[in-house]
Amino acid sequence: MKRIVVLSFLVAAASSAVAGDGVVVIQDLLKDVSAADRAAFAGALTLGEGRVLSANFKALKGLPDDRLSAVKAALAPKAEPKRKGKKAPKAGKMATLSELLKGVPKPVADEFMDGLSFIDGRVTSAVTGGLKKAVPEKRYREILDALAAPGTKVPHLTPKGVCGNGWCDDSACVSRGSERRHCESSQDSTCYSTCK
Amino acid sequence: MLLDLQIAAVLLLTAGCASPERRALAAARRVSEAADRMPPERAAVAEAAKGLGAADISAERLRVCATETVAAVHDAAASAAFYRPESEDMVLLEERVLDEKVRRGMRAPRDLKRMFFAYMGARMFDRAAALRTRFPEVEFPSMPERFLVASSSAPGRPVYAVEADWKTVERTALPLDRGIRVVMLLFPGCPAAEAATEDLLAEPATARALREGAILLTERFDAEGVAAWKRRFGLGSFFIARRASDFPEFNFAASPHFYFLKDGVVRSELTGWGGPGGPSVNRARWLAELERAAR
Repeated sequence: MKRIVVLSFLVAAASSAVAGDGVVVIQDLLKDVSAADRAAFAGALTLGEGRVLSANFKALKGLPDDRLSAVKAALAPKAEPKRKGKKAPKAGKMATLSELLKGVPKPVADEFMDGLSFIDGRVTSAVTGGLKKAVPEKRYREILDALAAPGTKVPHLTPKGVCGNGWCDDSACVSRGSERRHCESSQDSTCYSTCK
Repeated sequence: MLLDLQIAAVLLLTAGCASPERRALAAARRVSEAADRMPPERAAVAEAAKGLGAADISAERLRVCATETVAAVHDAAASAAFYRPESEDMVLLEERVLDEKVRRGMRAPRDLKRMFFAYMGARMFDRAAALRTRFPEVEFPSMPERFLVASSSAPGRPVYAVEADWKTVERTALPLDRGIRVVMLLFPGCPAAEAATEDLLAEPATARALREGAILLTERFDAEGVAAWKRRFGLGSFFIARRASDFPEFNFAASPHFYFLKDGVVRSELTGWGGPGGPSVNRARWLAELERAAR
């Protein structure tokens, strides 16, 4: 009986991390994991052009199997619907989040990783307030560019602009209830082109 | 005696700030807490900002406040101005606190950019231009050079029309009170709005409706972004709202957000574009809403 109660709680914890139609925020997804283990797990996530390529679950070894499966499923990439005339993007650079955030002060890096949102294994938004303050603008853009999906042609490409190569500042990927996914005004957040 | 007077002056100044400072700090924290929620709650930020406005934070008072208070009030005012761009009182508070940060050598380039966005959001163009002049070393986002006012006094809601070179914008009126209209709210350069536009233009029926009856509207004053969007998609009817409150029936926070109007009245709406089903499902939903509005 006790086992069933525990499992029910764990399922609830996993499902509550999914907002709207599948948006998963690292901090919510792993809210029952210590901040240190969460940072270790997120830092070891290997990403390539906005997608999760691999994950190391060593830091989550304390989680039961069901819960671990739920985390894996929440971050697993899925196929995208094809758009007319669009070719599949070429594979590009890959890096772990901790490599990508090398040199960023640890509290800032941890906050950034906690705030990353995914849909079907693709980065959809990031909370960027701390990062913006902690690193020079060039480095800030490098980090966000590295998380963006390839092949995006967002019209406003000037370095002075608010929206750049596949990401848009001051907005987050949101979906409430029956709403479709969209970017929504959100200070210190970044909405990625995967939010479509 | 002189020392006593100096101590008394310091005590007076500190006492003058102490209680209002505590109030200001508490109000600032309430604003920041509301702004930090994910997803953000604009109404909660606006409500909390009333407390910040009531705290009566003058430039003189700021001069004797603790660094922590100055930083907290600055963050809060910037957040309040971000979530309600037309709130001039918050923009002016942000300006006062930024001046204090500059005086103390605390300001960062990011603070100046936020100030610039706040000025543009409140349509305080002269102040935005002055900020650029005052800090030439900062790489600010672009802004138009000429602001014209349309000569005719046609009826409609006040908006800015952006010319092809984006350096000139003109205050004009947008009539929405006749016929079937689709109003697409978006942020220029928003990837979700970009996908929606591409998908709608990919099929003849939706492309025709978008090209012939749709108006694109944004609250963000990014004239260069609007011009780039118009150029790329060949959609001429893209305007910048003068103020969001001129369009009380619209929510400018979401991009894309479609409103389907008949004779000026919103009959239905569609928020967002991404999600299960893909472009064909989205297009079908969009057309269904358009037909519903036309009934």
